[in-house]
Amino acid sequence: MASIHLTHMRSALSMAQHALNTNETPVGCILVHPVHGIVSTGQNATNETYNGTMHAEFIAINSLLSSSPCTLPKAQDGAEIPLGTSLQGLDLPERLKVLKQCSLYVTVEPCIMCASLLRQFGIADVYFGAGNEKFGGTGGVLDIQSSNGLFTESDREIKRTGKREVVGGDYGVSGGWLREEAILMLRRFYVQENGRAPEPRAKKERVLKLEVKPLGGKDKMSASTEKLVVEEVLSERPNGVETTIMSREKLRAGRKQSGGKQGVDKGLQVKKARQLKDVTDSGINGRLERQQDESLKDVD
Amino acid sequence: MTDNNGNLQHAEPYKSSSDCAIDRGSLAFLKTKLETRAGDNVMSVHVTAVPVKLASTAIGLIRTILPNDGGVDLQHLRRFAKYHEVNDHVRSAYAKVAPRNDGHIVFVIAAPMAITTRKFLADSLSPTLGSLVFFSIDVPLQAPTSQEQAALWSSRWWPTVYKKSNPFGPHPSIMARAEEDIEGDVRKWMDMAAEVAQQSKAAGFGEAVGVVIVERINGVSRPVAVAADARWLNWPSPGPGNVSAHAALRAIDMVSQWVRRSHEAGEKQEITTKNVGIFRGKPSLPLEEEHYRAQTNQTGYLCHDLEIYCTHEPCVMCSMAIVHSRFGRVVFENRMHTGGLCADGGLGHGLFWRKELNWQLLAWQWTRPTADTGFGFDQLRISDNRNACDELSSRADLNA
Repeated sequence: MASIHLTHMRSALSMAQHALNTNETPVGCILVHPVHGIVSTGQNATNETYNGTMHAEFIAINSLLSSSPCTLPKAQDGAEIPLGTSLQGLDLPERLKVLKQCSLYVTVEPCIMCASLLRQFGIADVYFGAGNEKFGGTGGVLDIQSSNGLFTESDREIKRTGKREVVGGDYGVSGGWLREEAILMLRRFYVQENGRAPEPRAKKERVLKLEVKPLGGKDKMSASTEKLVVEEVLSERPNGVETTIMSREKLRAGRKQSGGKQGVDKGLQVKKARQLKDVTDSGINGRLERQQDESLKDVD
Repeated sequence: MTDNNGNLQHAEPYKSSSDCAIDRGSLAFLKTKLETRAGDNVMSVHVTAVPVKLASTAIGLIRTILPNDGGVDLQHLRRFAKYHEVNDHVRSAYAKVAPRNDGHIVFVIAAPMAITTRKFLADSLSPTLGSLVFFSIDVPLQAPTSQEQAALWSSRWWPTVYKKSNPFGPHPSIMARAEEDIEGDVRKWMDMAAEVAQQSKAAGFGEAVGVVIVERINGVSRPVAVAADARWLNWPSPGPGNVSAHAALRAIDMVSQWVRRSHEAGEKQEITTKNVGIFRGKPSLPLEEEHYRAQTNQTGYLCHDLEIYCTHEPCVMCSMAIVHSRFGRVVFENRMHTGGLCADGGLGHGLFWRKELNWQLLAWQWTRPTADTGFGFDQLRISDNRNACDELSSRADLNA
């Protein structure tokens, strides 16, 4: 059933929401084991740690492999993420085995770094929401999930005809799950200030746009003029310098701002409206859609 | 500054020999992804031969009938070439269409074949220039990125001009200046990386892989973090080990701790340095501890414009972590076939300089002086099929 993927993606989204509430880039993820259920959660922690590599995937894997129980935040609407059975008592080798059988649900396509992390630790499948053609590692820029990306550019043809050899460490990827929600989450962050970005850009003119282009949009003109919000937002991930107090103030201001703008009409004309170009490459679109179709088929 | 002095002590044993320039080893700038692709591309052009005296008339006429060469950039190609300036392959193409060679002609690139036909050219040019012969040859599509490449292409295709610019990567002058910056002490940092690598191996913490992060301000450089691989530290074997304990990730973590500490001073209690979960940010080896307490002047992104010196080419994950952290320069010694930096060979990702990514940095491979064998550097060569920074063995196996 496709609905199970949607359910899991909603859990990942509530992690992203939690990140947004704590002034982190709103990317969230969960790890789901076929037997144990949801065994771990993660959200971006680059601002808190001042470490630009602390993406949600690292946090989730850390949480799974650490014996200390992971603390789960409550989703904004009060609904808790339905945790699976406890792994308490499992030692590290056993947890590493569990990880290899897990599926990752993440709101934004894993970046190249995380795609490689997942490959090296081992994971069964990745389901993601929004694509990331700026540094996505599972289709956006490279295809690390297949042969470590070796054939990303040269082997598109073979890939299309499905004759590719599966190499050890390869994992399945399926994108586009609740991507509109994931994109809106990024946009909400975008209209907030990211206090730790090196030169915080004035965001007063930024307006939350609520329309999301469907995948495979044929409007070439607008595609080329669209500004990439994924880039804008994610490029601010690594940290800069600001005291927590300052960023807390900004967070409050940002909340007010984004809260106010959420009610804006869809058709509002905005001079500097920026739109997320999710995945514009039609080749990638086609593939993602096909993969999604296939995965739908698989589970129906 | 005590850190700096401490570091100099470490460099001392090798310093005596590094007075001699050749002992610094050599730096080779990595080819970017675009450069590796660009070299292979050629286009076909129409070439004609006109009497030397009519050369300028011919080019004037061509510019009139095909303004701007139809939008195709030919700036990197000599427009005219004398008979003795072209290679045999061009001469024989000419010989096939011209029954005799009177020696007083000059070859002209008339137009790219993609934009016009031979008939159109003949019809347009012949009324003024008289009867002309045309033949077609292949020429490099894009500008060469070095003098050597220009010379090679000139001998293989057509006289090609190198203009000291690089549309596919960093500008040559930037590269040259950066190389001047680092060549004086590159060996010092590479030796330090090698030393911490060996400490880790000896302690059983990880593989013999090490990195040094260096801050360079007004020409003065000093290490701000030194880290070795620690994949086997509190981790079960076999398997890939702790992936998040690769040397580059650990070093970045160490820098972040200091940046965090300096910004949160007074607000929070001292951040305790410990290894949490899978993360191995705690300095554990003598060299790591010695250089851990360096202050950084980082005020923007983490690691912004810092330099990172690595014994091995960082894996895909670590390469991207370096990009995410906004390093300015990366130098490594040993290529890895699972590495993420190189564009020519291996995985070919060339992550240090890709247009898609929102950050580019300069990257070199450093070669140790050949006479340099006394320090046990052979141990750094991956011999037992065990990974250095990733799952598999040295890329040298593949290329051999």
